[in-house]
Amino acid sequence: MAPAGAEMLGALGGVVRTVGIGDFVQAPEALLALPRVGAYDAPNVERILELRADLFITVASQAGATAHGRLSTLGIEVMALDTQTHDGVFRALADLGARIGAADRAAELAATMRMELTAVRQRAAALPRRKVLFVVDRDPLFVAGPGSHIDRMIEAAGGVNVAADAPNAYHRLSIEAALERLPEVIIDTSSNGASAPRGRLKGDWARWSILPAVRDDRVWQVDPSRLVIPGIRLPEMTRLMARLIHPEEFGEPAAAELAR
Amino acid sequence: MTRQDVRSLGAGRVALWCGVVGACLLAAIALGVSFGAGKVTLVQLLPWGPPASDVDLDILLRVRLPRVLLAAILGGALSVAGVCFQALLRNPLADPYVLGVSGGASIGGVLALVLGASSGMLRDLGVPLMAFAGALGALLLIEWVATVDRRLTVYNVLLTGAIFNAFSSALIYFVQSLATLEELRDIVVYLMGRFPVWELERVAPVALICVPVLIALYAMSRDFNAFSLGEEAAQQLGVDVERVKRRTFILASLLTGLAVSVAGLIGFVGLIIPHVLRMLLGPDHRILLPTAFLGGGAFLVLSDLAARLLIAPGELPVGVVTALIGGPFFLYLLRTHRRRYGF
Repeated sequence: MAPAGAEMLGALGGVVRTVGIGDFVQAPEALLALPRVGAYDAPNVERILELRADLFITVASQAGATAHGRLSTLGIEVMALDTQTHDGVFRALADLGARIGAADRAAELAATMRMELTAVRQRAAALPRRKVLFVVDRDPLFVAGPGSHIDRMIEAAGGVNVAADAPNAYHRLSIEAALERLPEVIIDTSSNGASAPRGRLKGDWARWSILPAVRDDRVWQVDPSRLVIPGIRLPEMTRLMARLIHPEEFGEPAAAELAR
Repeated sequence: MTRQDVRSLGAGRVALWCGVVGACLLAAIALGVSFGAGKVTLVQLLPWGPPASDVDLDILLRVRLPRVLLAAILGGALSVAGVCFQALLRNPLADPYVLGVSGGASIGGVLALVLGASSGMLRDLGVPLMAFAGALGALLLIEWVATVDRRLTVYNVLLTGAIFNAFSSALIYFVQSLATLEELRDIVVYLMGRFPVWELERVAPVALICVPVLIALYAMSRDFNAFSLGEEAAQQLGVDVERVKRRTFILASLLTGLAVSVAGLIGFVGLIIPHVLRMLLGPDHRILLPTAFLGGGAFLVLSDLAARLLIAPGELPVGVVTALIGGPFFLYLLRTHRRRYGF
């Protein structure tokens, strides 16, 4: 089971019927003691059969297509959730709810999530839009581009993605282009160690003192798990994004809130 | 070429050709600094040009200039390493990449990354040192395996190089399978190769390592000329064959290891440039070595410019560009010179 699916399953009350989890699952707590059955794109077919699973929840991905087909032919139902987009998250929630007999709970959850998202969006709409650079990897520089879940959150949280013209959702960007666009906020998720320093920290970006983000002290070091895996925590993530872009309005996030 | 011909090489000719190829390098550097994903150009530094903002200045002087200089140094280093391998192995196809020396360097670097050299001083020193050791190890192995009757044949060199490259990629995949997610990313980035965003202060040490190595290699250029007559003939001409060989292997591996550890696998620079220069200027190493440095620098600066511009504001690894040019060129050499190479 993939991380986004695991979180959704937890919220829908499906934990007790789960027999195994994917290698990258970090939440909810109740699932973590279960056996690990491989990554979303490379499930360990033998282990999954051994655990007598009848439903395999994963994310839709080209990388996993062959292995998923193999599981289907062995009689295990594969549910590939598309959680890359916001619409996809809501669709996946409804589908999963229907499949495990928790449709009402899923609808309730979706309504609350939509309400919370609208609240953030409305509050951010009144604020000046800040130019945001979202860093996935620093050297070489990879950034969140158009169509990514991050791009959508930046927009909802009152920012403008400076890499909005990149050709892909996640793309390598020349450092020259990044500097030239003069980002006012830099959100750096490139170091994902559990002990990496988090918070309002310039790190390597301190070199580029001409950038408004560096000058105005709006460079954030954030653990990727706080922002990059879309799913049930979408409202929470969007709120965090708003706090990173407009801390004076939404409240300064503490370092612990940015760590894994 | 006899020893008499070698002697008669005029200092004027060396100076002339160094000047010509050096001018190409300067032009390449000017072009490299002029264009990039950012809109600023070199013209804006001139007093009568349109003014440059602070960001533009940073892009020009702190992003592009160090990178272009790094490309010039490493391109020169790889090209010189190619000339040396070709002289010693008496084989025109002996490029660090084809030989598997770069592959050996990448194994060394990857092992250093995984074996705990993940940060700070240890990494800054450990990765280049291990890359150097890997390059040297690969070279010794290839020399040991591929030498038949004290001579490396084209077949043997290409076969050994191909097998060693296949072996080294298997070994790297093996290490990757054991690596953590964090290490995996380091490895992929390292192998893909990129010019790091360094300040000039960090480029300077790379140049400082290269200069004495290049001088030491240049001091042996007469010995290389003697090598082209065969090892026995060189011995008879008073060359301490084993000593020259040992030194050259170490120095050329150092250059290769340095290039791989800074910028990843960059292929074919050491093949194309020496070959073109040999066609233009003849086989004398006293002229070949300095022009190979300047020409290799110019070639890598231009390849990097292409890598930066082709999909801007994205970027290609520079090794992709050199391999796309170098691969077909290599096949062309094999095809047109197959008789001379013994096919």
